[in-house]
Amino acid sequence: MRGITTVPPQTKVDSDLTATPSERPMVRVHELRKEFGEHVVLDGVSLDVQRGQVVCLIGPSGSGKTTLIRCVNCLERPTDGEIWIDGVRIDAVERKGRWVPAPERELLKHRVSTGMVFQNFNLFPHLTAFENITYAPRVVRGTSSDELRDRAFDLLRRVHLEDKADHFPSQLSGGQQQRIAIARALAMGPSVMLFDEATSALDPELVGDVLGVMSDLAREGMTMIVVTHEMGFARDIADNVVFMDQGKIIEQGRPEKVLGDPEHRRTQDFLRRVVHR
Amino acid sequence: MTGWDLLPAVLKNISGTLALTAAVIAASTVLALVLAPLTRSPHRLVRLPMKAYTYIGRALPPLTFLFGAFFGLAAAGVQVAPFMAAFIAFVVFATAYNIEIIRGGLEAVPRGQYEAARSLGVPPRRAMLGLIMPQALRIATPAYLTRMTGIVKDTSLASVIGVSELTAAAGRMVVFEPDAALLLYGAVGLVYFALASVIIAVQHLLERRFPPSYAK
Repeated sequence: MRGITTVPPQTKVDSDLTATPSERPMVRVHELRKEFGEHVVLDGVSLDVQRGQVVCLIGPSGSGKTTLIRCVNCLERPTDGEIWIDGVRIDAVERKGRWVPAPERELLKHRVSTGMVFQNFNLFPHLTAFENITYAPRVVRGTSSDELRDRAFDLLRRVHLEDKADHFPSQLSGGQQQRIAIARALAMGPSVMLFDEATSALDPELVGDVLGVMSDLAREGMTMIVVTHEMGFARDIADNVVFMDQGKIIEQGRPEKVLGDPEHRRTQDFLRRVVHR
Repeated sequence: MTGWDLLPAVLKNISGTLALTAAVIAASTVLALVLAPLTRSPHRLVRLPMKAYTYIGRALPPLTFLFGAFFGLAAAGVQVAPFMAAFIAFVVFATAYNIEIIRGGLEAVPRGQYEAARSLGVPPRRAMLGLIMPQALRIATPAYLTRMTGIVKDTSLASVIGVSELTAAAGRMVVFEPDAALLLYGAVGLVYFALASVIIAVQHLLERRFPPSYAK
């Protein structure tokens, strides 16, 4: 229950906020609940993601994966539970020893620590690729234009699109748009990157480019939570695979275990359906 | 005196029509840009008055606003010149429409655009100004400029409270020279046609320069 504790409760990964930064989890989700009216989308989800870890969330549609990362990005307000990023609780603030829901302006600050990549890219269509990447750092941080330029081209190189700086989203393929969207999210220097089915809206031949950029990020040590249906990516890149169903985490562990030899019946059924598509 | 002799005296009142139209378009556009986002406020106390205003503003005839501003203000002890009364009336009237047209544009901007702005930590007001409104205005341009051509013609109603604009001037002359009615009102009609054409040209220019499909 949202209440009196100031230190997040222990979970099976033995670390807490008194731990040094390198030991405490980058993301800690504790007993997260989200209801839309009568409908329970998240039913007590707890998840730790360590610094530099890549966690893939898999599961049938409607299982709550997307809602979970939208809560971590503060796009949705949890009904109950706690979200901590790098030792800071983001969904609530402490007032006189009690946790109260964080006001919108607090959430605004926290959103910067998580970079979100959407299924439908959501690039700003009236801005060029360069402007899409630099808009938030410019207006939120007031970064100087020289620095913006350098950083934007550095990011464009990382997503292999340095020649597309002046292109508008409508002039780019879906895969290129998604890579610009990744660069845009990285531009605010987030500590965690969240991917919401980042390749689901792409033509099959464009998926590889985007997954390639995501793999590069993972190798560079970015902490990532990835909602995906790409089982190959999950197997090759993830440190942990989390299977969700009906708002609960059913099973989690190393990819070879969860994907190769799952314990739970529901995980087995799901994987059979996905593989035999 | 023939109608042709009277024509210049009528046409010089084009300045009244132009001044009223330009002032109303400018003021109602600024007001609508500021007020339209409030129609989507999460706070009911902000949203409901906006809803009531745009409802009433669209449901009542423009003459009601004209008489309201002219006689109503006078009854309240505020003396305003006819031009000022017409300006106030048309701004109140036109802004209600403009808000609704811009709101339509705002509604048409995909939800994901708002979410992308939020997820990047862009404060709501900055997001509205730099990210959402530019997209909404592209969508709203055809309807909005069409409404502006309406304002040009609506200003002719100001003649009933004695504003010196084209229609009023033609009316005054026709009283003296009824035979000139066709010529004078015909000429006035052509002027409105020309003014509306300018706005239509601006609309096509904007649509080409800022296509809502972003195709280049």
